[in-house]
Amino acid sequence: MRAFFFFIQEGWVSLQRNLAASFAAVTALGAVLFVLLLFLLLSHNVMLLAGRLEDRKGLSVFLASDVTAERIEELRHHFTSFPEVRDLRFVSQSEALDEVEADLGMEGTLEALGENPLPDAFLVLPALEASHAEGLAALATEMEAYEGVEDVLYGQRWIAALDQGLHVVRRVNALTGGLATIAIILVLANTLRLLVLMREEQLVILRLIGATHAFLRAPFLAAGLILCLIGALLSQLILYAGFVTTRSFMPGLRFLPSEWLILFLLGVVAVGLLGSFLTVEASIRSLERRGGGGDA
Amino acid sequence: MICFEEVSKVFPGGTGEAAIADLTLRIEPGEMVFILGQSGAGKSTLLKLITLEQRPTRGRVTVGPFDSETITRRGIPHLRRHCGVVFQDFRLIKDKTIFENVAYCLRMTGTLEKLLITRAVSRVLHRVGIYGKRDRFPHELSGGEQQRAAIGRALIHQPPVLLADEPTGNLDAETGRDVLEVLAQLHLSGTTILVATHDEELARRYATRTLTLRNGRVVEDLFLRPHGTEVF
Repeated sequence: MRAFFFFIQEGWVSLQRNLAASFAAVTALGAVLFVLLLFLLLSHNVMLLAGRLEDRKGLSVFLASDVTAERIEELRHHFTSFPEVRDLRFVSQSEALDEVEADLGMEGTLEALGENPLPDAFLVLPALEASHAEGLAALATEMEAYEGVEDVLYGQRWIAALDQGLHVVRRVNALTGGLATIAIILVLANTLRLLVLMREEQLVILRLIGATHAFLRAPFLAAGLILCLIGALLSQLILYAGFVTTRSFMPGLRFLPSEWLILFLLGVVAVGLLGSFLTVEASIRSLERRGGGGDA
Repeated sequence: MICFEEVSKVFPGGTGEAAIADLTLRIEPGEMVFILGQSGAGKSTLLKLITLEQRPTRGRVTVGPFDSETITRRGIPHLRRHCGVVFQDFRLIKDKTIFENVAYCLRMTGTLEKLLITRAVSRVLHRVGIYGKRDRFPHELSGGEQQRAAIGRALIHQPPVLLADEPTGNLDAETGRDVLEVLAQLHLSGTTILVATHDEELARRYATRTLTLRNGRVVEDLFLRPHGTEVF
């Protein structure tokens, strides 16, 4: 633990001594990470909205008017056994009429119409795995083939559009994440290469007097870690400030959950350490090739 | 003990001439050997072969338990701590005080306890006579003082061997003698010392043995006095 703090201190000192480069690196990292966080925030809110819409992805299975009670029970039994069906509720003709009357705020519809025009129906809630446009279409076709089923309806268009939208959001997220990873590595590579160059003389001396490779590398890894942590925290802070400002005219907007923020920090630190490791390895090897400090 | 067995070193891309040619040599513990010769004779290369800053093109160098043919990359830092090194241009870290320069060497080996570091560094700085300037930066010291600090740094691991490459090259004659006095005291305490220099007068005064190199070959190997003899 003492060694960890020693290297963190060394990394910090080295960043302080190259204040301009460190400041530029933190600003660049903060900007890149802010853009990534912004996309995550938008995705999070789209996902929340989509989650609410998912609950409405039900199928209405309308039954023929002459279907018997036994057949209804058989159908219920069949449909319940489908793995794609999460829940199923039977709505009789009279219940359907009650719901319509309640929705429309009317009474005495039956008397006015003479007979109930609504069919018996099953309201089917699909399992999550089948909640996409293709899955629902397949389920509807399968149910429609049963004797006694007259029609199956669901929101084909909006479900397809929702699926498409979610697909795009996921793609954009993956792309932004990938670009941000590359950007983090590039920013760190430039900064750390500069730090290594500025401490080249010291590295050569340390190698000659018996420093191990790990000892030479560790302060730079610590510097990379510090830059990433500051950049990530800064981006989260700016995003939160932006969120608080925006929330007043977008009340439905939700901030990223704390687990996401912690995962984000850990991810940035992991990418930062990897980038720092690769850069420092390359820089120290290049120093060796140029004859600085010999063979070790 | 330091052993060279038919060692040659040819630098790639050079003239093809050997900087060290078929050198066979044995240096016993406790010797104070001065390596003499003109510039380009191979003095520095010989020292660099000991620390494996340069690998032999042919032959084998052994330093105590370390063997150039079998040593791994991980083993080289241990070899370099086994041999303290002092350079002509001191090579102190400019932005660290003298105390920090020496202490950094201890930290390098995992000693992070403050009290241990303070004790060890203070002892070494007393020994080389610059304890009073421990909080100064290298540029605030004279050449002689910087060289003493560099010797202190080389001694912090209590190495059995100390290599000095032209340690008086950047110093005036009197300061050079002061630095050599420090090395002579270390020799009396049992440290094996190799000094590369072109100053024959210093060699005659302090060496127990001199090796004269020309074109990478030993042309003279003189034993001047027994090991551990006080010189005046």
